[in-house]
This record gives sequence, structure tokens and C-alpha cells, in this order.
Amino acid sequence: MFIPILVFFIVFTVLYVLFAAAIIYHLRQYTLSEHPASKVVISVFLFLAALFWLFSLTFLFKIPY
Amino acid sequence: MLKLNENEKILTTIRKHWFVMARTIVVFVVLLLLPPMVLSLLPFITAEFDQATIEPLTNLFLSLYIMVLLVFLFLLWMDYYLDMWIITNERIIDVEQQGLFHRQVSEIPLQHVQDVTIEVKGVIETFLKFGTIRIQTAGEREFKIEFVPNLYEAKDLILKYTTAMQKNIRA
Repeated sequence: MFIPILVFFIVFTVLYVLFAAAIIYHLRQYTLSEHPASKVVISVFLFLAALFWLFSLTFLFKIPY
Repeated sequence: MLKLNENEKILTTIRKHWFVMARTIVVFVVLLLLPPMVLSLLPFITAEFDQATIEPLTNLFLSLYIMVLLVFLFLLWMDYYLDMWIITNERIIDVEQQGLFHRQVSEIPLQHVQDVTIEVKGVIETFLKFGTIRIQTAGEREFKIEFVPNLYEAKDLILKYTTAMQKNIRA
């Protein structure tokens, strides 16, 4: 059970990082310089995503091996 | 991203009214409330399974579900934020972000603007003071921007600089 879940988790993480990176790329590329809102939103998103990713990692390692 | 001509300056940037994002956030909150409903039914469904596995597995998928909701909210916000109209003293630039890696930018020189019409339709638009601006150009193309806040100020700004531009050309 643990191994398939681990593989799924790794694939999910890779796809998630790619997707999030694409969004951040667009915001950094196309935001007008005098608008700081995007920097705040990017920071909040990265913080929350990292937080829930750490939660999920914790729960992953609680699954019996 | 935006290259201005000599003597060109940005007068204002118009983004859609916050109501557009508010609708998305309401949907996000509703989706966030789904897991508690599912979790309340879970003990009945998984009673015969090993709880030492089910509990961390449930929490794992709950965390991943919230991450997915977060990234889609982020994507929808990006789409909202990068859609804008930039009004300069020479042209109107319509920037439309259509998802990832798909962007449309149109320009209307102010001297080609023939008609500016504003439309406020419905109770919500009336009370939240937003609406639609339609710009008719000399080439019989119509540009439309919806959910515009400060509608009358935007219209007045466009007309003021359109008139000034057309006077300069005639002189």
C-alpha cells in the first residue's frame, strides 16, 4: 500500500510544482511593475502550498510500511 | 512587457471588478466544505478496514485536495489579474489572458475611437457600480470590456484623450 501511494505522491508533487511554476512565470512576466499585489499573492500561495505539502508528507509517513 | 512610445504615458489600468473574483471564492469555499461532509460518512464506509492505514491515508488525500483547490484558485486569480485594459494618452491596450500560455493583446489607437457606450445591467451591477464599456472604432470593430469598476470615470478618461488626440490630428 505504501509504495503505490509514495509513487502517486511523487508524481503529484512533480506535476504540482510544474503547474505552480507556470502560473508564477506568467505573473512575473506579465505583471506591470507598479503593481505589488502579485508578489503578495505569490508569497501567500507558496506558503500555504508548502504548508499543506508538509502536512501531506507527514501523513504519508504515518501509513504503515 | 509593455513598450511605450516616446511621450506616451499610462493614464490608468482597468481590471475587472472584485465581484468576479468573489464568485470564484464562494465556489472555492463551498468546495472546501465538501471534505467535512465526506469525513463524517467515512467511519461508516471504512469500519471494516485497518484504521492505522485509513486515517493517515484520509488525511493525506485531504491535504492534497486542499493543495489542488489552492492551485486552481491561484490559476483563476492569475487569469483575473492579468486581464486588463491599459489606457495611455495614445492608445487603449486590451490584454486578455486566456489560461496558461495563451494571451491576446489588442490595441486601439485613440484617434480611431468613434463611439464609447457604457452599460449597467441588473441589480448587482447597479449597486456594486460596475458594468460594460463598448468602444466602436473607425474600422467598425467593437471592443468590449466587462465588469469595469468606476465606469463613468473610465468613459470620461477615454473620451477626454480621444477628443484631444483627434483635435491634434486636425490641427
